Amino acid sequence: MPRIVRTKVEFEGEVRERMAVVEEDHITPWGSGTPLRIVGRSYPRTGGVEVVTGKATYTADVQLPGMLYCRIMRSPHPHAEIASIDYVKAESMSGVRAVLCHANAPGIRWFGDSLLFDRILRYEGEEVAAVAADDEEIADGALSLIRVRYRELPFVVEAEEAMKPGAVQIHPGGNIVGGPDGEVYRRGNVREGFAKADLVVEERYETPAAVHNCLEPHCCVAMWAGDELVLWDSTQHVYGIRNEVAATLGLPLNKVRVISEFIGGGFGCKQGVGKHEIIAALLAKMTGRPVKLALSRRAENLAGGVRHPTIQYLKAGVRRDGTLMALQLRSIANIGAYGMGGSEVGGPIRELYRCPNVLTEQIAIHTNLGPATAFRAPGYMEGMYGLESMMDQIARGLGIDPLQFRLLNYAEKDPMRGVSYSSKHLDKAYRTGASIIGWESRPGGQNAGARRRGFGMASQVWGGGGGPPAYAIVRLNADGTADVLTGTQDIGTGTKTVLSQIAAEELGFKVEDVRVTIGDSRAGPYAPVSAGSMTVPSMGPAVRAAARSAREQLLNLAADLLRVLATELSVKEGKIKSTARPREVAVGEITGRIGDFMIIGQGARGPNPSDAKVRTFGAQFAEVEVDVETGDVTVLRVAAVHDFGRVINPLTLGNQVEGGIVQGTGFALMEERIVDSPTGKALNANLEAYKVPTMLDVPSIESHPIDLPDEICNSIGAKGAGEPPIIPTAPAIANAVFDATGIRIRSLPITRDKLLEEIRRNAAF
Amino acid sequence: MSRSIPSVRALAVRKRGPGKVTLRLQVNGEEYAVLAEPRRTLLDVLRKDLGLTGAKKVCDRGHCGACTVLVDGIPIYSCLKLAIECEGKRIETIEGLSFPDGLHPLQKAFIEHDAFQCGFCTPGQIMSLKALFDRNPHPSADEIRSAVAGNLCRCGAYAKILRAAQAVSEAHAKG
Amino acid sequence: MRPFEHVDATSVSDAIALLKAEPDGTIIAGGTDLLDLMKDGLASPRVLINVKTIDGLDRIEADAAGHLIIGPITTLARLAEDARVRQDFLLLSEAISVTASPQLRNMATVAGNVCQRPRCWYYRGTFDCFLKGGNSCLAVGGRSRDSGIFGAAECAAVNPSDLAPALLALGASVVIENAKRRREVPLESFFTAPQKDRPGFTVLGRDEMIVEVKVPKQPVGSRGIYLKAMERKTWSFAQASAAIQLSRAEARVTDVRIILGGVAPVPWRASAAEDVLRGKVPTGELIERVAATATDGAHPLGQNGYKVKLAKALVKRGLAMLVDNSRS
Ligand SMILES: Cc1cc2nc3c(=O)[nH]c(=O)nc-3n(C[C@H](O)[C@H](O)[C@H](O)COP(=O)(O)OP(=O)(O)OC[C@H]3O[C@@H](n4cnc5c(N)ncnc54)[C@H](O)[C@@H]3O)c2cc1C
Ligand code: SF4
Ligand code: FES
Ligand code: FES
Repeated sequence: MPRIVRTKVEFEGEVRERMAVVEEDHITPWGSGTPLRIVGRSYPRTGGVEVVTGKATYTADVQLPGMLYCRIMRSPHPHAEIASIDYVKAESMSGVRAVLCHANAPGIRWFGDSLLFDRILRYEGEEVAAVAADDEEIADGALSLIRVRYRELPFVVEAEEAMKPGAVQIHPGGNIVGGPDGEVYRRGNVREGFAKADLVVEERYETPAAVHNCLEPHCCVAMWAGDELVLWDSTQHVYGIRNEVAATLGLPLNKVRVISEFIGGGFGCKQGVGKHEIIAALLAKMTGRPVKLALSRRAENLAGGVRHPTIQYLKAGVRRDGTLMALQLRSIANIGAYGMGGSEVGGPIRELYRCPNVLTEQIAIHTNLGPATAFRAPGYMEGMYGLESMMDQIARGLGIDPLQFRLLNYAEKDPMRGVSYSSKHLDKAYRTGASIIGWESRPGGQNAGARRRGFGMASQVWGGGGGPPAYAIVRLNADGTADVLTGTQDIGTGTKTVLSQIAAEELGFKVEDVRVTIGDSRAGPYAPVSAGSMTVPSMGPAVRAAARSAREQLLNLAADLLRVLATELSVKEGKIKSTARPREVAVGEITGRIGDFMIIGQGARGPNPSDAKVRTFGAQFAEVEVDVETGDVTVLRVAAVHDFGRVINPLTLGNQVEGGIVQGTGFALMEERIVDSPTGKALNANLEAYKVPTMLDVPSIESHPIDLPDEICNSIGAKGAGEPPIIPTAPAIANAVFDATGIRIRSLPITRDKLLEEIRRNAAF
Repeated sequence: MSRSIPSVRALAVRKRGPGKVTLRLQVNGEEYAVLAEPRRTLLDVLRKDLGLTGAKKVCDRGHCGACTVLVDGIPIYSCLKLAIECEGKRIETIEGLSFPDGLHPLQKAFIEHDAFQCGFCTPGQIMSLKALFDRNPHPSADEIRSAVAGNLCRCGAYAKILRAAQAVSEAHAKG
Repeated sequence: MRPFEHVDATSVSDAIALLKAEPDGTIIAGGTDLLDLMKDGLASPRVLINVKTIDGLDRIEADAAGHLIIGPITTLARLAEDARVRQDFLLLSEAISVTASPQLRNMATVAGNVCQRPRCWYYRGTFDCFLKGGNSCLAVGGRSRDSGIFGAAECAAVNPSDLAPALLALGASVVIENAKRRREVPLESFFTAPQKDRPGFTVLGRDEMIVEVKVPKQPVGSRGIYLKAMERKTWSFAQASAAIQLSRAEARVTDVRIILGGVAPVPWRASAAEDVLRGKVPTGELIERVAATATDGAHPLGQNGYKVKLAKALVKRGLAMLVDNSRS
């Protein structure tokens, strides 16, 4: 019998209390002693053949008979009111099937008081009108026939400007989200802490707006089948989209189906519903035909979401012996016109080190820019750059080795609640990473010549514990194969592969006999958003529970048929074994005997431990070369040692870690949305001027996950690994640049112009 | 729509468009006739008219590489190539790569070494590498890197892409 | 992209006659810049004249005097791989090897490359700047990180080509044809600062076509180098670059050309720096002096001061490498 419990679930740094319906039975976690055959081994990805042959159908590839293409007209101004709009010519153009704009669209509420198609446009790139036509060229042609008269309004794009009294108001509630000090966290008394410190350092750090730029843009195809809506969607959450679309359009939940089989990247920007899904659904309704809507790359850069830029005022106080006495942060996040709020920039400051006095104020500010959305480890990545740059600076100031300084302030218990961790091996990560990069034997940094080597390091802390609700179903077929069904999705992290391993392990089947069906809200039960590093720790235990239920039913049946006790039976490699008898029986022989009667196992993710804090940890070490004449920065090596609990698939996990480091390198050295302040418009809304790393920009990466199961966090002992690897890369690189040059750049990305300017200003070299 | 100017009419040239014209294209060894405007790019013809959606549209500007296909054996960005200029040329896409007896060694290596995450860049990566290996069956690591320098992978699977291609190169070296 | 007619030209005279007859006609070569501009509405020709169908325009050959003759539709990739080029004009191969990406080098042509339009983000974006008929240059007082430090009159955009500085360092010229005549223009006078209604960087008339690029034979033992700094390791335009061709007799420099890319509306010839070096023995100290002179007359804007230091560094390093024999 299922029962309902309360449990704490952490999502992207925020803890929420949730109700969870859980299975009665507690499942003993796979511990370090549990012999596992499949979990822990490298398996190539399921779906790999489709991907490498070009046959994988992403939403962008869906083509339906009679399908129309939708194109969006977007605001050319950062802030304007539509004085008039004339779309008659566009509507009457041959091949145009429907036009939507504020003049004819239903008054669907969107953000606060604003509408899906609003008269007021609050950022460059906001939706003005949409055209559905037989082809994209026609739709584009029609857009150029729509005449809009804009009344331009004063605008503000800089967060600190938008905070000033008298600044342009973007929403009636003002530009500052929440109170004037934003979200406040306090422990101890920072004033006293600073008073007791021997050294107090204050710095200002800045991080840029980074654009996800998933290669597959936000994209959907909407099709009505009677009164039911089928939506192919490039999303990180099929169930979430189902729920939000149904609520927005006033449809029963069971009349919306969301399908997302292959997804060309998400990184956080495809978590929730966007205007495009609703627009496509409305146009499909108006025309009676399927409608495809894919954002152009420019739109993706203007309106597809960004990591919010931050300004961080960070103050730290330490004793001469290296004891951290106080940490204080005031962070200002520019969340654009429709960002939901700031992320947990203060997270690392609150929880990485043992520090008695901490104050963090996280402020989120609306401006006339595109909406900020979550981006891989939101907040923590930005905050970690400030914090770990500061720690490096202080350690050097005190003459203590930066690694030693971190160990001195190591938190054995969660500094926020004082509880124990379900597991923590950060100390081991530090030592392993140091030995891989050669930390102890590194040259002193004071090397001469134009090309200088430097070493830097930084830590990582993040959630990744996942939690309920998450469900799965395992069905056994007559031939001894199994189907796993759940409403999760694979955004490129290898979810499908990992879940098939977990199911096969628990069932005692071969991996190839287990098929996982995901990415369809109608095919499987509820599963959480693929974000917050929560897919594996949420879905894994649910799948294990479902597989366990199926296995128990199978063994009971086998016991009946073979006339032995179920407790004498076990399954291995698809064969049922008895301790009493030597003969093995293939699973198919048993399931075959019951024909079309089916064994169906159901599983749910249980609650999180109430008395332990679940975290992932890690450390990265970087070696860089800086050419102090040309300003070239080359990241030579990165050693990454993370603790995600048990490793389920070393191959796909390694890929996640490397990918995080690549994106982290981009964030450190080149990625930045650039806005022209006088006009409030973006200058680099494309993949040429917005730089992301290429094959030639990536360092050689050595990744050694700790791979010790966390026996408290959940039944599979694994935590999430999607976000942690991106967190420490930028500060590790920034610290290495300092080590090489003696120059500290406190504003990411560390570009040539900043570096050369700083070198000139210091008359260095 | 077409204006006739005497001096031009006298020339031995053929103007086509701006409306739809019949394009004859040879893709993956098969002949196709497509009705399309001259402004249609090769990428759009492949994806929309021929249903070959392996090549992806990401930037439509030569900034990403996801649309890479081979024209007469040479990798190009199909989003910056007019289809009308590909008549009489040999066009190869990822769909034509699989061998009758299974997968191309590069495809196998990509799976074995996990050389992708979301897979959206993968067809483009493989086509760039295919052109390299056709020319040079045993490329060095640097040659491999340079060959895919025009193919972004936002997931950052570069290390594994390199590994996969190196594995194919080493297999060739061994014979 | 607006609809257009498409013509496969079969001879140079066809193409030129078409250009003359069609005021809205434009040559399409590799199309890598033109189609980009057309998709953004920055160019909207009614007729595209494809010159890739003209026989013989992709030749790479030497004339009787040993000068290199390059057909206009030769792709960058073919030029870089050509055995003669690698032997005698390695500077070109080097410049091309750091140009754009492999796929773009397979598509882009030599003539198209020297005719490409500015990359200034105000120009490529949705801004009404001077170059697009607006009142003023937005880069000068705005985001000027990528703008020029030399020779900006009304527009501070830089010539984005890598091939152009290399060709200039070799003393190359282009042969241009229109309906009336054929003329040879040294590249040094081919490039101009962009002007209103002529956003290109060249003196080419709209009814003219480049039919040849000519690179003079270099003295025996003359060697060149191309150094380029970009925002990432590849597939980016130059923040600054230096193309240097150096000839020596005994230890003395008999001739040198130093051309800077990415710093001016034209490939910028550092004549004063060349003068410092010519006739002398290039010691380390002299090279420092040459490099220091290379940016004489620079007028950096608010955000591109780094280009001064960078250009000097590239010149110094390039010369040192050439002198060191550490490069061929
Ligand atoms: C992402 C990206 C990165 C790039 N990076 C670099 C780089 O690092 N370095 C660099 O140098 N370039 C770079 N480029 C620019 C690229 O090299 C040019 O787009 C290319 O060289 C243009 O050649 P094309 O043959 O494609 O020209 P087209 O686009 O066909 O034509 C360009 C112009 O030249 C005219 N034209 C072409 N041929 C002739 C002729 N024979 N006579 C008269 N006019 C003619 C056309 O009418 C048109 O106006 C990059 C481009 C992109 C998209
Ligand atoms: S530099 Fe030239 S193209 Fe750029 S804004 Fe100024 S005038 Fe326009
Ligand atoms: S879609 Fe062609 S290069 Fe990006
Ligand atoms: S695998 Fe996702 S972009 Fe390369």
